[in-house]
Amino acid sequence: MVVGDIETGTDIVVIGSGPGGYTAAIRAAQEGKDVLIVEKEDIGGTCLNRGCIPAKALIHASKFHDNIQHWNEIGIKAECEHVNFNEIQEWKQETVEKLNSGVKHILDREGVEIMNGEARFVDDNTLRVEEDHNAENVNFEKAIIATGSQPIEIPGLEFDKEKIISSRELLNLEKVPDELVVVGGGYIGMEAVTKLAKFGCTVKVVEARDRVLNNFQEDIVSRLKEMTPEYGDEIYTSAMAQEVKYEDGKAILVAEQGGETLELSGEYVLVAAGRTAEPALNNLGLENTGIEINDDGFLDVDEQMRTSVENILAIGDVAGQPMLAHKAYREGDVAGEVVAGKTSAFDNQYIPKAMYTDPEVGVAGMNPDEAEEEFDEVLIGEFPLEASGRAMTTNKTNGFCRVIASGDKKLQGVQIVGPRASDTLAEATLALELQAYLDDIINTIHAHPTFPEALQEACKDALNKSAHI
Amino acid sequence: MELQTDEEQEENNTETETEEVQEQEKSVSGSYSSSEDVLALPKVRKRAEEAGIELASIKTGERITEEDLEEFNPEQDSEDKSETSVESKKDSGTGEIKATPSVRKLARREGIDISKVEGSGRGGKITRQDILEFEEEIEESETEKQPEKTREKSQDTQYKNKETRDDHSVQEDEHVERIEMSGVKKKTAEKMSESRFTAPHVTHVEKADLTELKEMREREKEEVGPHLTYLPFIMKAVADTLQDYPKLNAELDTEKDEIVLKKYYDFNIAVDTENGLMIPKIEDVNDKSIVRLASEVSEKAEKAKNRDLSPEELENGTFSITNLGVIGAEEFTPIINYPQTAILGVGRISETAEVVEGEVQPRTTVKLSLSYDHRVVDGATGARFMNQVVENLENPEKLLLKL
Repeated sequence: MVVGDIETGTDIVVIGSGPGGYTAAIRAAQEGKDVLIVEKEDIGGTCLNRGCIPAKALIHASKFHDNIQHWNEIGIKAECEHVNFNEIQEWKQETVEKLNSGVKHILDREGVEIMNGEARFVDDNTLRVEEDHNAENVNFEKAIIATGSQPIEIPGLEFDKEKIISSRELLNLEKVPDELVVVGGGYIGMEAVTKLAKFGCTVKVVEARDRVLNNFQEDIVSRLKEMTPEYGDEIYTSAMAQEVKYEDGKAILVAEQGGETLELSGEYVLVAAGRTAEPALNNLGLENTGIEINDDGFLDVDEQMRTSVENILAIGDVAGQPMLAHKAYREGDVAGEVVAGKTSAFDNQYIPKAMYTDPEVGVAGMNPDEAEEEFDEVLIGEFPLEASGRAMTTNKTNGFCRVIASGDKKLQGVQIVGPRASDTLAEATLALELQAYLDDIINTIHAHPTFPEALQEACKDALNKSAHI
Repeated sequence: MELQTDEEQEENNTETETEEVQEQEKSVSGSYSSSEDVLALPKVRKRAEEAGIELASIKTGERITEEDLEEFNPEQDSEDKSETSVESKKDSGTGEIKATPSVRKLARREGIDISKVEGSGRGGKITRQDILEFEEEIEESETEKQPEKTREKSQDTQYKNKETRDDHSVQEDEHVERIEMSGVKKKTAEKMSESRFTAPHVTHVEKADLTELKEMREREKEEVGPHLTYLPFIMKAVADTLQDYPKLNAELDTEKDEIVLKKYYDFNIAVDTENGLMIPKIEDVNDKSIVRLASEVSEKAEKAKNRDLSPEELENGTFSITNLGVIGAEEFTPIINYPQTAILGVGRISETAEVVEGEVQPRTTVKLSLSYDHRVVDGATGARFMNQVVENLENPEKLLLKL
């Protein structure tokens, strides 16, 4: 008998252990199912190991400069002696590992088994898991595909992981480069600016469209640029990246902008042109199941996250846009419950979006333009953080909170730019899901002084009731 | 705080302007035509003026006090009105489900399509209560309005039943044993209470002499086979009589206050099974021969015992017969298979001493108990119906000629 003939049986197999996968595995296990996770890399997936978490750790560290400057202004005389970027990276790694072992601990506690390797479907009930030269067949009743996404590769700018890198390598740089060229002005690209500009790196952004942060409303982006010049300098829009040349150990990105050729040099070229779920899906052997990848490169799923094959579900990035960890968490919960026979469904009406620029941006629901199209009457209220007591006491008054309501005073959307916008977004999203009216937020007592008071004030402003502006 | 209240009230002034005009117009016909005619102390008037409240819009019918002023909240009134007018103009959100996540979850758990539920909350928001009420409505309409519908929905009612069961407080000790009710049992219990407490029952008992029928049956049995019981004859006797007394083959539509007479004769026959009472349907009893009815009854009874009946075979017919006598009962008070109007209970068939032409003779008799809905059928009609059923059974040759 060869090793490849070993067979394992399980109720549920989860392919991928990112936010979607590990949540689904834990929920299904809590409901009494035998669950096996197949993971080819690290438990926790992109978000935990090479995405959200390490990125936010570095962004936190990057604020040192502004902080020291501010302390000096208010009488705390201090100076930055030296930045040891390696130590910052070590701390970041510790943070990642702490979270990582937390997830592992819970998986272990719930009795979820973990198998390392790459999975391929043999048929609707069998998975072949290969690691190095070993292979094992796993018989399952139900499978959850949670293989996530990876950075898109641009022809001519293929990742070599030396000079042409993705967000993954960027997070592990050993020292801060003097110059960095970023291809793609989405939120990953702009967060790179946030991370590195403060450490003294000149970040040049090349964006194919006519503006950066295309996913966010134009006026939010222009307000962001006003507040933080880094988001306006060295930004090349309507520019098409062509190729990379090398000179004196530096990479030079050649791009074309309005018929002219741009040459931008940097120690690295970061390609952040979006993410794709397709490569991982292509390696899954889906052809043996009858599941097809749709034209957008995702798997079609129903409200219960089922694919066209009833006992195989798909969650997270492979299940479509937006590719956000918190969407995957929710889908993971749903899938974990569905495979355990529950009636759960992904019926969420609002998926919030947060961006860790400086200041942060958080949006949920409709923007003013969408609301104008939808409703006869639209109420808009805005509260500038200059008027927030909490913002003033933390020396972070850049930003605003804006609410959008329909004529019947029902909250339809929230847009926040400012410190802790991602936190205030939680209340805004809850209010939207709970079908709140402006008065519901206005008449709820908000602790003082806090950032979310800005949401309450913006609601008041929409009804011309604000006492603070 | 002061500042804020003032501001708010100032704003109320503008907001409620149109409202106030209307209020004033309305009050013209009342006891006060303007604030000048209102009875109020000067200090009350002053406070009202400060607060921007039109005293005329406060309707007390007597002197307005400071308390009245405080209680009067023009903001609430005006806001509520302006909101409904906006909403009627445009619904907020296309295809959006106006319910919180937990309510959506409840709907899903109960198998309710939430898009069909009308919300009672602000702006049509669907509340937890709306879901529970919608669920009850479905159940009611299933049992009342659509008797033809299948009984598959018994699952849906589990939730409701569980609640009422939990409410019962039976003292738990070793003298008590709890047995969970099966689906059939629960459904039966529900239907029984519904019938018993909806339709005022009258039970009419009549004795029928089956001696002749018995003799005829003995003769036919040899030809047709051993399965020929009395039941098909009784079914035939009833089906024949129902054509003359259509109100017993009817259903009361309580919403329209109309009696729905049915021109078809589908009987439900009660069958005792291990899992409880089953009442399969025998269609078009009036068109079928006695032999055919006999074989259909035994086939359905067999299926009922094996739980093989399809939902269609368990649908509600137009009249029911329960044959408790084969187990043992001289007479009893059957409960109507609601929303049907009547049910016939067949007692034990036995030899009794009867006076025939002045002589006491041993005769084969049965007591028939007819329960009917007194809202639909009055006593005289019930009695006449029974007379004809008995006559049919006592003169089987005549009955067969009629068929």
